[in-house]
Amino acid sequence: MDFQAFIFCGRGAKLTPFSNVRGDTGVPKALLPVANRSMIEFVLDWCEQAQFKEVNLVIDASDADELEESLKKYREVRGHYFGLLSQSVGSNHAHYLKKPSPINIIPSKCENTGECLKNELLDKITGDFVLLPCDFITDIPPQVFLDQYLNKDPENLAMAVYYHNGFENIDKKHLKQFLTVYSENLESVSKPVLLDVYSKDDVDKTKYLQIRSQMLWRYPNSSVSTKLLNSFIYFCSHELVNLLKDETEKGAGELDSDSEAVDSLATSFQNTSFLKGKKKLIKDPINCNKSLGKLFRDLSRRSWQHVKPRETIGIFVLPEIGLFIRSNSLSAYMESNRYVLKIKQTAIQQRTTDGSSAIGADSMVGNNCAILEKTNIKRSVLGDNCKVGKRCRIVGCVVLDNVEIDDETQLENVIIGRNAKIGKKSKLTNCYVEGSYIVNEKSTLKGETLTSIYIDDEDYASSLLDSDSSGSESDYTDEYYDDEDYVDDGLFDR
Amino acid sequence: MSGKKTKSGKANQNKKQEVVQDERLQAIVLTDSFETRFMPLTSVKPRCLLPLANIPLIEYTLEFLAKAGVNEVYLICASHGEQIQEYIDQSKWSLPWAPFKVNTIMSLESRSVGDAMRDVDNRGLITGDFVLVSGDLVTNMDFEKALDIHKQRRKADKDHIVTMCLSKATQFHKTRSHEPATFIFDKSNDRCIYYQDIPLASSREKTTIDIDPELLEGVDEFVLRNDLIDCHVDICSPHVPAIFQENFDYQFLRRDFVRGVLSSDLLKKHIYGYITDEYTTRAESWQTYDAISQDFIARWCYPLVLNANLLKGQTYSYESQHIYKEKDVVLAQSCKIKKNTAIGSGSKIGEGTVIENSVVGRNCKIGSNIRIKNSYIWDNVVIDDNTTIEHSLVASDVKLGSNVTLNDGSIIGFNVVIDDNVTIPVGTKISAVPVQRNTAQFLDTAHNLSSSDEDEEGSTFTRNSSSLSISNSDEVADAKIKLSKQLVGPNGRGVLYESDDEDEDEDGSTEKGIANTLTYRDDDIYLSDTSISSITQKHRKRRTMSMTSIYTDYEGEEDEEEDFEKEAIATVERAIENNHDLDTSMLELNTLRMSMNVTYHEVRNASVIAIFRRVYHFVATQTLGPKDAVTKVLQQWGPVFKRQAFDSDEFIDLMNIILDRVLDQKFDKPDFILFHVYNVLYDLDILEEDVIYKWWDSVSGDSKYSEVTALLAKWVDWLKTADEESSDEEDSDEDE
Repeated sequence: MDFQAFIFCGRGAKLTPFSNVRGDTGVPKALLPVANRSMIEFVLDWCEQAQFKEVNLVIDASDADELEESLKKYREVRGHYFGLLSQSVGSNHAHYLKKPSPINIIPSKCENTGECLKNELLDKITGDFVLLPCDFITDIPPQVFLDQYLNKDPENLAMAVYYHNGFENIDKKHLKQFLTVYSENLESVSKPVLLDVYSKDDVDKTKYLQIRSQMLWRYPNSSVSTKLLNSFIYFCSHELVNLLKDETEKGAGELDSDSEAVDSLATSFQNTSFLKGKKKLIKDPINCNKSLGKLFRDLSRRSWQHVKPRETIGIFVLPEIGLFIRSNSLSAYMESNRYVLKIKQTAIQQRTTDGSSAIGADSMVGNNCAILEKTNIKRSVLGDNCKVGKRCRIVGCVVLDNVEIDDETQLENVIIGRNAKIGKKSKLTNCYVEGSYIVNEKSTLKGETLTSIYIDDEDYASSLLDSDSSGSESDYTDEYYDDEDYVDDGLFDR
Repeated sequence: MSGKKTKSGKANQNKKQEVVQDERLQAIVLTDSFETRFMPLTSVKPRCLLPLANIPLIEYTLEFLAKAGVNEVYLICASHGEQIQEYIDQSKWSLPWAPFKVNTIMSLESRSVGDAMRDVDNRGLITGDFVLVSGDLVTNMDFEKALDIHKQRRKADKDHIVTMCLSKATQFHKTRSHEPATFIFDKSNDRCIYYQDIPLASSREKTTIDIDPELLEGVDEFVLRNDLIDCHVDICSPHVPAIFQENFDYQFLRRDFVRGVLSSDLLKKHIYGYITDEYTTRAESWQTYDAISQDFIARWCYPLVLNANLLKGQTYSYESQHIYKEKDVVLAQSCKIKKNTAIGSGSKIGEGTVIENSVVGRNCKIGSNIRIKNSYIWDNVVIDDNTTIEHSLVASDVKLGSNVTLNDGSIIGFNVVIDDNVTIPVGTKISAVPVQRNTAQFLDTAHNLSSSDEDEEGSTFTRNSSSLSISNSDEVADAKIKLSKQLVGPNGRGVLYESDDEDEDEDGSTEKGIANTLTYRDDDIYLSDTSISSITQKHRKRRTMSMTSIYTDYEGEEDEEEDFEKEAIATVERAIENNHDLDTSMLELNTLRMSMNVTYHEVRNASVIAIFRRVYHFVATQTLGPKDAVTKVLQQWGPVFKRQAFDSDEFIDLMNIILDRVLDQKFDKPDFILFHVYNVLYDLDILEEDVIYKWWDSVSGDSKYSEVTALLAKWVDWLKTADEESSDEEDSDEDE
């Protein structure tokens, strides 16, 4: 497929303390392992399946090197397999094989994804493109998405992909709820379109869900879902690039919702575009200084809020048969680990280290681990170079690399960061232990997040807001609707 | 334990269901709509007896109820109850073999649906589930299906009290009520979550539907429907009248009752919707009357059609092209009856007459060479030769002279006589006798009006207009009679009926006017709406956007701007009073401007008004002389205009505003004030000579301003001739 894929590697604010948003005990979000493979590799595999023309990883400039480093191995393996494959196919049929598409890394300096798209990516885009998050795992093949996109209506600028959460165990509190307004267009031939998105928190804060009557005149039968979640996957047409690109001759002075002036500007072009049989794109000033989720919300609003209908944003709700999960919060991260474990359960062989210790088939243990006797590991992932003492019980945990767990420890639903140490006879339930943290002996903890203190906690709390789209975001006012959701949508990094 | 509970609950429900099944199905028909939309005709006859395609409206409703298998019908009558009683007594419905017994309930004191329902409750009529319909329903809906669904839901949800039957259409459907409303349903079970009226699509107002998030709790997905025709067929449980009783402030079925029940924390009752795609609608305004007549003639409502001859003694036969004729129609040889036409028995049609898309009642005498198009002629109408009737309604017993022209949207009331050679202008409503407003009838209408008025219009207006009509009625009556003579000709009989809505129409707000006339204008707007986008909307937008024309002032709807105006004036006044600096006040104004989405024109307007009020205050309290007052206020606040106007067109607009507002403010010496204002602004370099000259060219000719421009003429001359003369001299000039 002639798509360019852009994978936005967020910093993983919601995955603290395991991402490197605070301090350096963590790793960049994209490199956080899910069942001992970094998250990004799942996405890359998926892209491989889709056979995109090129795959670009957009990552914060400071993390680019680390990512590059870890991708080395992935590329190697990929190259290796390709070599093997082409050998076995033989030279006669080599042209059937497609060379693996290049994987580039684009270091980004922007505060948020929208700005990044506009300033850093637009020039690189040559045709239709796909925007992806770095944290999704799905068993829905990319062909399903592509088919859906290719059958889109001509007036669709882009297609947003939404999904229903199929995992009951993900803590509802951690899922930010959204009210997604869309129209199924049942009465017409058009495909479903996305109309608007409100965050539940904002609605609760303002006491009212305000639906513009204007929209109802254009889409009289629209639905609102409280359960749909944004997958952050956007299939976009090249037209979007034209729309977002700045035209140099036009100043920014027209931001005052003077769409009329723009209208007349557009009409002057209309004659020529009429011959092409395609509607001239009406260039409304669109502020990109926000996360992509908000940007696409604005684009979908743009489709109905003008007198002349504009291009629409399609919506594709993933079928509920398939599973789709984004590791964008700690509980979702845990759940995705378990999901992968479940898939691998059958494939993985029982591994026994010491006589009487047991590692369930539903668990996974990395290289160079030492697990002493009478230790039970169930539904858990252990990273590389871990040491687990005697008579431990580890259930439903995610343990990253180089962790030492002392004797007679009981862990349940715990995520333990790199280089952490858990003291003897500790008992942890539903805890998060930051990397390099040392849990004292015999501590009994429930539902706590253990972090080393080196940043003012207040400070830290504020940075908890979506890292990719915080900052200038909040004091920015929409040009069309002085928005009620002054707080960040956090669509990107949910 | 819970299992036990549900079991017993189920048993209960089963029992209940049996009881319900045993009960007879009752129907409450609200014959009065408690509205004045069909005035002036409804001052003589109740709405439900007005004929639609030669059949009184109530017949459609009763026919529907008969088909629905209703056993008892209660007609709740308010105004003209005796006429309804009389009609029912003589109709087939009081024959011994009628499918149900029709009881007329005189509820003469009722002023709203709520009152009527409370009356129903007081009388204890209701024994079980009942159907609540209005007396103007036209439908071929399969009611049993709806009733089944109602019963099923009732079984599943014992808090379920009402099922509203709604019909699927499009958002711009012509028979959609002109008070469009949005229903919000739970997608999974069609439970109504919320209800809200919204302004028409052509309205420039930016409104939102505000849904309380509490209502959405536990709802995964819900739909917002703005494409439903609300035909007011509700299947209600016996609780409904009681709820009206408890909430004595409920007036309207939808706006008060439905919304009230849905948003009440205490009641915890549920309302469901039943959405059908059969033909269901209400004749609740001229516009829908028109649309339904056309649909009915075109057999959309089959099997409910004209040649089913619903009435005793009707003898309609159907011919191709939707032409219906009764027996004993006398047609002249050369007359042409074109498509979609119905003619009642005993009517005579003369030579060369063309009738198209129209309904003609019984015993009409229609002369020769008459054109009747898209019109409704009721019974016993006499029309003389060479008359043209275009998209109008002529009620019973009207006499139209020869060479009369009825233009689009005319409504000629009962017994009106129109003399020869008269042309009735577009959208005129004429009644034979002045509609008495001071009587009880008036109270009725006034009450209804104020309540039937949309929120958007605000009831203040209605109050004004009604009080106006009381105070003036005597003096105005004479003048009106004179005016009416002009209208209907010297030998005519009839007075112009001016509905309150129409007054408003003249004020420039078209919304209400559209809603309540038969004229084509509304059709146009609806059409343009359907064609992808509302051109009208755009048109208006552009008007206000252009900011240059003074017309904007008159063109735009008052309501939105008024809000802004009030707020903005208050803002500026506050600023002046508290001596804010310019930046702060401008910031406030700008915020206001953006949030209300108005143009700078309105901002200027508001600032000007506020400034003049200040000046007026100084002058009136005699703290300062007019000249000093102007100078003082403007020295400080004049520069604000620099940030509200940016090019010469806008400055001209500003000058126009100043001119108008000075006149509005009613100063003692408007010309003097005006001159000073302009002069100070000129001195402050806010107004440039070029702008002044340009503006002067456009204004000087206008006779409206002649009283104030004399002085200005001097000033402008002075500007033109003397380049750099001091203003002192000018002062002495005008002191003379």
